[in-house]
Order: sequence, then C-alpha cells, then structure tokens
Amino acid sequence: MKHYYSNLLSYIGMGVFCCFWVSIIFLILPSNYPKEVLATNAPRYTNMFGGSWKFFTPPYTYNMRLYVIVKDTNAPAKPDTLEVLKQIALQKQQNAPLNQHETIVDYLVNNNVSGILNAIWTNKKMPAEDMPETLDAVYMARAIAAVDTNHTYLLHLDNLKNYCKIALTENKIDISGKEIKMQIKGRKIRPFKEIGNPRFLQKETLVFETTIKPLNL
Amino acid sequence: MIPQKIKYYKNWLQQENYKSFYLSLLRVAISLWLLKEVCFNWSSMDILYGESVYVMPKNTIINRLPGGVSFVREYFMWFIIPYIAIILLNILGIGRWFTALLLFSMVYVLQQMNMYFLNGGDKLAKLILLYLIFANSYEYFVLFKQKYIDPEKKKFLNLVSNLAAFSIMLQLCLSYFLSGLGKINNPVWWQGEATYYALSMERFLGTPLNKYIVEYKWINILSNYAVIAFELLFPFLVWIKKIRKPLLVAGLLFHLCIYVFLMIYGFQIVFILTYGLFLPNTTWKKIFSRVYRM
Repeated sequence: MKHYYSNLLSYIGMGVFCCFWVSIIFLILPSNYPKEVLATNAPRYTNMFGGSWKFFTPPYTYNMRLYVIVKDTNAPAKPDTLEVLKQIALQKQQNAPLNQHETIVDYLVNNNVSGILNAIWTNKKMPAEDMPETLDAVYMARAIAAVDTNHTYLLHLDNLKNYCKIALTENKIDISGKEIKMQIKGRKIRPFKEIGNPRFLQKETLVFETTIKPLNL
Repeated sequence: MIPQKIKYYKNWLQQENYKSFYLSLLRVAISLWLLKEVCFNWSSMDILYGESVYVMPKNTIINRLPGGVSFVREYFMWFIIPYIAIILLNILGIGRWFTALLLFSMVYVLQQMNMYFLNGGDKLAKLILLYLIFANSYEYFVLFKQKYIDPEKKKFLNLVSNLAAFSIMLQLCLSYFLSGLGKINNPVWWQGEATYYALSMERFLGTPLNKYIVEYKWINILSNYAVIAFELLFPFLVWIKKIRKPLLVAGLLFHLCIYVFLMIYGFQIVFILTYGLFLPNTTWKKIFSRVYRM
C-alpha cells in the first residue's frame, strides 16, 4: 500500500469515526432535527445505536401477579385459579444460579405482561388501591376497550394466552370444554417509608382482566 | 493549528495498536461468553427460537425471509450449528475480519428472532462484536499468526483498531452516563428509594439475604446514591490515570452485587469484559506473564 493511500484512508477513517459519534450524540439527545431525519430514513440504525440505557429506571414498585381462572360451564361456582408469575419467580430463586431456563420464561412472560400494561396504561393513571371497586371496573373496561384493536396489545395478549395454556397443562388443570379468564394484579411492595412496619398489608390491585371465554378464542 | 492537530492524532493512532493484547483477549472472551450462552440455553432453545415457542413474532427482518418465521423456526438448528462453528473460528482467529463480520450478523439475526429475551448485556455484546469487526484483535491468541504486513497497511490497521477500541470504551461510558441521567430524572431514584424496590422485587430476589438487607434504610439510601454517582462519574473519571484502577474495582464490585443480589448474570459479565480496555497493553502483558510463570 502506498503512503498516499494509507494517509488518505486514515483521514477517511477518522472522518467516519467522528461522523458516527456525532450522530450517536444527536440520537441520545432529546428531540432534535438530525435525530428525526435519522429515525425516518434509517430506523434500524436508530434502533441499534440510539436505544435507551435505563437499568431499573423507573424501578418497579409492584410485584405483578397473573391469575388464570378456569371455569367449568357446568359448575361455574367452583373455578380453578392458577397464579403464574410468582411461581416463575420462586422457581428462578430456587434454581439460582443455574436458572437459565427459568430466566428465559420469566423474561418472556413478564415482558408480555409489561407490554399489555404499557399498551393500556401509558398516559393514563392505573387503578389505585383506594378507588371504589365499581368505579375501578368501569374505568378499566374503558381503558382496555380503547386498545382492543391495537396490534401490539393483541400480540402480547396472544403470547400470554399461549403461555397460560402451557402453565395449565403443566399444573394438570383440565381445560377441555372450559372457559378461562386472565387477570393481572399489582401487589404493591411495602413502601420505603413503611420499612420496619410489620403491620403493613400488601394489597393486590386489579389492573387488567379479560372477559371469560373458551381457551381457543 | 487544527490541521496540525489532526495530523498529530493521525500519526499517533497509526503508530501502534495500543490495545492489541486486550482486543485479542476480548475477542476470545466475548466468543466464549457467546458459547456459554448457547450451552446454558441449550435446553430452552426450542422456547427461544423453535416451533414450540409461545411468543408471536414481532415485525423484524426475520419475518421477511423466504418462508417467513415458521420456516426459520422449523429449521433453527441449521442456524445454531454453523453459529457455534463461527464462534469457535472466532476464538481461534481463523477467518479474522470475515469471521468477525459473520459472527456479528449471526448474533444480530438470533437477537431478532426473540426480542422478548434481550437485556442491556445482549445489546452491549452486539455492539462490541460490531466494533471488533474493525479491530485488529489477531496479534495474540490466534492459531495462525500473520507473518508479514505491509508497513503502510499496518499503519492504517493500527488507526482503525485504535478507533474501534476507543468506540467500545466510549460505548460503555455512554451506557453508564445515560443510565445515570435517567436515574436522576426519576423521583424514586432521586429520593434514594430505588435500590430498596429493586432488591424487593420477587423476580430479582437473588439471595435470601435481600429480605434482611432492605430492612436497613441506610444501606438502601447509600447504595442508591452510590449507583447514581458511579454511573454519572465513571464516564469522566475513568480517563484520569490516578483514579482509574479504584474506579474499575468499584465497577467490578457494582456488577458483582447485581450478579449476586439481583440474579442478572450474563449482563454483568459483558460489562466487566470491557473494563480491560482501560488498562494499557504493558499491564496486561505483565499480568499474563505472571500467570504463565505460575
């Protein structure tokens, strides 16, 4: 390689390096024109380099619960109820540090639970513990109806239904000819101010539920 | 003045591959980490990439492949086997830059196949692999050493390699800084309560000790602000020689704590692996000669 070409390529290399990092700076800054141009013309580039790095921000203040309620149409008063998320968390704890399988299931299921909640509650206030139950139900039904045709929401819902089928089978709950309902509840972690208070009661708040339907629907 | 400065930096970057030893080590280490991930995920491969997966595919590049997702999922093992072979080739330095490019592409495709299972560690690993395509990480730990390189070509390779190493270091600093910035804008972190909630999450209850640790307010507050301070200051202080080593040790402890107490494993290893780039070649050579003598 001739000296001239080596120099030329070196300058080009340095130029590319500078342009690349300047573009990254624009991508991480709050909304600006170059960022919009990049997002429109190179979405893959934006996704790859401009994604956020938010470890535990905001931190979760709830432990989520996913209940699957299975009702026999012939005996509706005696439904079977299965809680999924705590079971996964317990299995993950028990098998640590060799819990790769449990970690995979945990990420897959929890990311779909978060996906559903984000689809419904982004820009809306989640039902609070102190809201009267009847008001909660109406408020929630409206919020769920608002995303009923949203593709992302439906995708997450299908994923959860698929997992619930597996979980019910694993727990030997007969699902043939039965109807199911899914409920997501938030179990509030004892607030920081309540550290040392043994009488604090951890309540569960309903934040999402499906209507009762046959499992294949 | 500015052209002279640019020329000075160009000459300095061409002079030597300043991180040659650790770049080689990083190539081997990150490949071994990928191999470990494959081994540990082996029993769950079908859930992640196969037909028995219960997650519906998101709209990614894989959906546009001939035959669509179902085809890719049916024959995912035909992809995993060459992937393992490419990792092994990368460890041995066979195929060099071409293998590095192929490995990055394969990791990218695999990550697209199941985007629900990705975390910050996977993201950083993908970026490291991308930067390693441009780095000359083949001066050590290779099966076949390159005997002769044209001096002018060598200069250019040194420059690109140094910029690639610098990019990995900048990427680490950027991820910490953005994470720290996000934290100071969040009221829970700002009030010193966030590590309490993180340690109380059932999903991340790494040890039975977590329940006792969170009972001490001062530990929660101290660890909360220590995390923010570390993430915000690391990107600036790590470039100062005197503070570098204690800072890297602090980072090591920080990631070790997340590893043990929050059960987030692969993530921490990838972050720690990049730390080595902040130490000079001479230090790494000394460490390895000592280890070799032992």
